[in-house]
Amino acid sequence: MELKYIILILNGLTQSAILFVLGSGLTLAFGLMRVVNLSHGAFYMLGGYLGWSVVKATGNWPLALLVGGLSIALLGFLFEKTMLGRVRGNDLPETLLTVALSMIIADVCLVFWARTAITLNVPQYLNPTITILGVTYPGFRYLMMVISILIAVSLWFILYKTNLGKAVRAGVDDRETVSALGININKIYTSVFMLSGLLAGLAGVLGGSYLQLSPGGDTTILTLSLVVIIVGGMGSLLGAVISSLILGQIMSFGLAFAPQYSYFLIFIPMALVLALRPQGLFGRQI
Amino acid sequence: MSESIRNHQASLEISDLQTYYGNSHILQGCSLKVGKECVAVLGRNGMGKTTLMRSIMGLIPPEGGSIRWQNIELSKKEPFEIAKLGIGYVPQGRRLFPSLSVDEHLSLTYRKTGQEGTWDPARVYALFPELANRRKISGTRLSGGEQQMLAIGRALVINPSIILLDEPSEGLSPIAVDLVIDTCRKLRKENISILLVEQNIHVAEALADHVYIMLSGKTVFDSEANKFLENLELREKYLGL
Repeated sequence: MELKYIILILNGLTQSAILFVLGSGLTLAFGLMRVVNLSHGAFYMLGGYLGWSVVKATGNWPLALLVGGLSIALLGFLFEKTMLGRVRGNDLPETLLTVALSMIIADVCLVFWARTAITLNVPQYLNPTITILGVTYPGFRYLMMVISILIAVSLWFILYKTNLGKAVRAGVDDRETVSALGININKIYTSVFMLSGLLAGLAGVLGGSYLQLSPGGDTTILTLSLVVIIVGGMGSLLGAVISSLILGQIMSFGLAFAPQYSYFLIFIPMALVLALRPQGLFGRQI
Repeated sequence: MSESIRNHQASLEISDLQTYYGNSHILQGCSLKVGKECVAVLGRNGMGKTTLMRSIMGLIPPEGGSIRWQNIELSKKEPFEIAKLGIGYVPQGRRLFPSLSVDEHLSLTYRKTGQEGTWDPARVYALFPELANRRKISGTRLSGGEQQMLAIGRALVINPSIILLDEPSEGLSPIAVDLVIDTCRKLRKENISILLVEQNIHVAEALADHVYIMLSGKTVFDSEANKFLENLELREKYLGL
């Protein structure tokens, strides 16, 4: 295979890594809570900006990843506990609340961070040039793939091997019966929303190191994450993996061969899925 | 059992319960008592029997009246708090979780207490050996009768003092219905009270100590089970049987 194509595939995988971290958070929260969190893109952006500030102040990228993730987890916790939880079960107020939060976050970002596009500096030690079988590729991008895989494995472990995961899966099936069996579903909701925030924040730091963060970027990111979960099936972890892999390649090859259509191309699998299998590749009928 | 003894032993006492579903007034004054016994609530379809069960569990919070359980008022509590007070719930249609295996259904709510004689998954498997061979498969891939066993087992591992059974015989073969009856008798021997809602009068006949009749959201009649079931005139009047 030509070297060019191998690089494009690797770029696609890097893109997939970000898309997965982004989409898995949204799909988890949606699957259980039936709330489409429209501030997910803003969570990503805020996480990225916080990480950028940490890198700027300390030069410590792993710390930035930690801070970006944990602060959005905390934000998610507070938001769910004090606001979203109060309007549970009412679709319209739930959705409007998340829209309002996304606008507030976007404006806060404008006030505190640059009005131009910025990128997180990745220290050299995390970005060695790696040559495998004659293909040279930046080591940081491999690192992103590894982080994404670690996150996927951790999520799988949480969902399938822990009591929290059991309760989450049961709650996705039938939240009423779960609560009638003595499980405080509200606590489960808060935990899952927090986890979803954590993932958005981590994705922001990862994405902000690979691409750039710019004002208004939150809506693009939100669109991307919605496409990931619509193609994969809302609430499905495996669906998020597969659809990130597909969409990552489409974005990478689209950018190389039809740059003017590259954004548009990602909607083709979405349109196909909606037409042929509206519940998504691995989704269940809702 | 004489009325005075029933009063004395009542651990679940519902009086004048009023429940709405949107704008429709479903329960319009429902009163009943359950002691250490099996109580059956009978009535035709659409009389509010399932709503009664859901109101007790807090799934449709009642707007008026009271539900007292071991002298604790339940009507303002959340479903999970109610369950933790020792009320096991086996919903209509069983409502197992398609994403969970048989094993996971039983370990979902079970927490090790270390006490003797408590219901743990192993004891549920001993009670229902047919489930033990199918631990790893999804709960919803069991036969109807096995699903009902699992729904009962899922309620047992919270170690309830009473079990609410909503139409346990619905959609089951006669053999499976006999198994349900058999199981309930075993539970009574363990001193677990049962509140049973049924269309199938034979299940009530086999199990109930006391029966209540529901008509349009009200409990209109109650008596010792035998007296009611032997009285064909009353059966005809309330159940059309």
